[in-house]
Amino acid sequence: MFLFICRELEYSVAELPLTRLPVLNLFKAKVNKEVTPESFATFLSWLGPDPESAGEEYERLRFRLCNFFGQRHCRFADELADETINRVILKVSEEPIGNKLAYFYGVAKNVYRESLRKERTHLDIDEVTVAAPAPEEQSFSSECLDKCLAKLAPESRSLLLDYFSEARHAKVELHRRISESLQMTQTALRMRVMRTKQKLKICVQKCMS
Amino acid sequence: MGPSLKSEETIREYLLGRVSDETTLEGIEGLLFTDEEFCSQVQLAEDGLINDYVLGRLDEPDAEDFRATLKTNSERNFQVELTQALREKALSQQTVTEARPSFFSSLASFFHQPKYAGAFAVLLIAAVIAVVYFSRINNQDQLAELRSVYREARPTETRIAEFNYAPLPQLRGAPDPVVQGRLRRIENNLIDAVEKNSNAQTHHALGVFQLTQQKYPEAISELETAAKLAATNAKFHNDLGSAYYELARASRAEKKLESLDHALDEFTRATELDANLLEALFNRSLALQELGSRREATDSWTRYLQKDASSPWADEARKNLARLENEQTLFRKDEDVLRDFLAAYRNQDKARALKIHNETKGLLKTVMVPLQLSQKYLVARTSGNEIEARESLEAMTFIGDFERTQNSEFFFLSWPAITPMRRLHSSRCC
Repeated sequence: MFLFICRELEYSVAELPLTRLPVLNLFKAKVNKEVTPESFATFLSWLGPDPESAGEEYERLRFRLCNFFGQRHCRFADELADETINRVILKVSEEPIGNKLAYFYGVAKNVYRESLRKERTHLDIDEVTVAAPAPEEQSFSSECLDKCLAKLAPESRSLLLDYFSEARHAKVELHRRISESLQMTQTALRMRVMRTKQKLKICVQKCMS
Repeated sequence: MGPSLKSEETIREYLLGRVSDETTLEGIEGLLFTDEEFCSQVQLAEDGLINDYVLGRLDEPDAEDFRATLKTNSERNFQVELTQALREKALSQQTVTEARPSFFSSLASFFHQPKYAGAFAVLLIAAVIAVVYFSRINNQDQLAELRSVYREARPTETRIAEFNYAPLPQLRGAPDPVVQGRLRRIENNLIDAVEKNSNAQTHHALGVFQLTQQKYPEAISELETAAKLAATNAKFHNDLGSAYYELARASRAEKKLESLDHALDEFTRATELDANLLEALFNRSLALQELGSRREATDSWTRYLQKDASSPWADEARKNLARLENEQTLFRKDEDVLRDFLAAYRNQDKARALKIHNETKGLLKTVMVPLQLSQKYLVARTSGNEIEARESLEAMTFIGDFERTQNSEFFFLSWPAITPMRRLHSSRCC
């Protein structure tokens, strides 16, 4: 389905660095509407002017949503994040929305409240908490990690491997040395490591899927 | 409430799932969804926590709370797995590297033989001299040509080392075909130079060219190479800082700060290496101003003007300094504004007093001097402080007269409070 959508939109998978597209689950909203390639395309262009910026925006949104639901101790924060995104996708194709983030926040709060009600209903009926088994997570693929590390620029690869290379006690000293050798502040170094890891994560998730 | 929610400590507590107070939780979530900079801060803090967890640097209570968050946040769980896998890979590579004799250790044993070492040294010195000499001549030609292209309008807001002053155009159209041809030739020559002699000078020249063409990531890559190869060259660090600064200006909010931070680092390094490098002093002031460090930026511009008081760059520095001073008035507390106004008024420094009034009158907020004076007057009257009441009234009249004569503006004289106050005051006093 994802490939189909990408072909429809004339994007390639590589051009569109979205890691987990909720629409791919063929989500059906409460009103029985389905996310279509058209609504997905509208959503993408609403997120950013080009696939790359839309992808970045998507990653940040997902980060926000996962934290929102995670810190509120929701059992399946990921699924609720996907549900929120799906609802927004459907809405965006119907009417213009001004403030993206505020809208996402509002929808997330609704989804959260609904999830609380659902949990309560379960308890009332059964008087026990029966959680559905968690969706099975794929085990981490070191093969994908190798492939993706090889795709990174050599300096980014060696930066990551250097950053995680020393024993625990030597870490602080190592990071100081790296930041000095690259002539950047330690905060800038942490940022660079984080961004490189994000790139790697996107690549590994894509490879694993 | 804002600043405390943005503190590292609060963010850490939030990420460890320890914030249960609904108001705080909503405050953080609100910021997370509205403030791009805060979102970046949280992302960085989360990444730091993940790294610390994987590297065993969290104490047991923190590690336990962190583990609990992984149960509900599979995205974070995945990042932990990725970081663990990276760590294992890094450690295994380190073991392999340590086990294998390195290229450098083999080379070192070769040079332990004096005859080889001596001959090699002579050859190396001759080669280096030749390469540096020819590549420098070529690069200097190309850079001179590039500078002449931009002698009417400069390509960047920052100062590129050895570029003369030219105003910064508001809009840049496509260069005419003749200039395009010149630029193409310069680019080809500089790329050739890097391919033939990859050294600090050739990378620097190509980086400067790309900077002028607004190809900032490419410029950064070349200039970083140059700055690594010649780590003590202040000009290279200055130009690298320029590339980061221009990238920041072209970036979205969340990336802007990161690039500006890099730019400031490079300008600072350049000024440390050469305290008289005017380009770097100018650029450092710009970066501080852009980062919103008003006081530091003001100091930095003042220091710049001590070293360069007469060039056209100095005029730009003065304009920036004036802008900062105006902003400082806008961001100051109401009582500080009133205190400064009254100090000037009492010293009969009319120009300064009116300047403060002019800067705040358009804001139509509590900072407005007449509004503050009328409040001060009422408080003084209530507490029976006649001297202060009279002074406030006279100061309001002073502003009113000024507005009437200079701007034909009667609003301040007919300020709702003034007329009854004046009447009241004169009936009591006289």
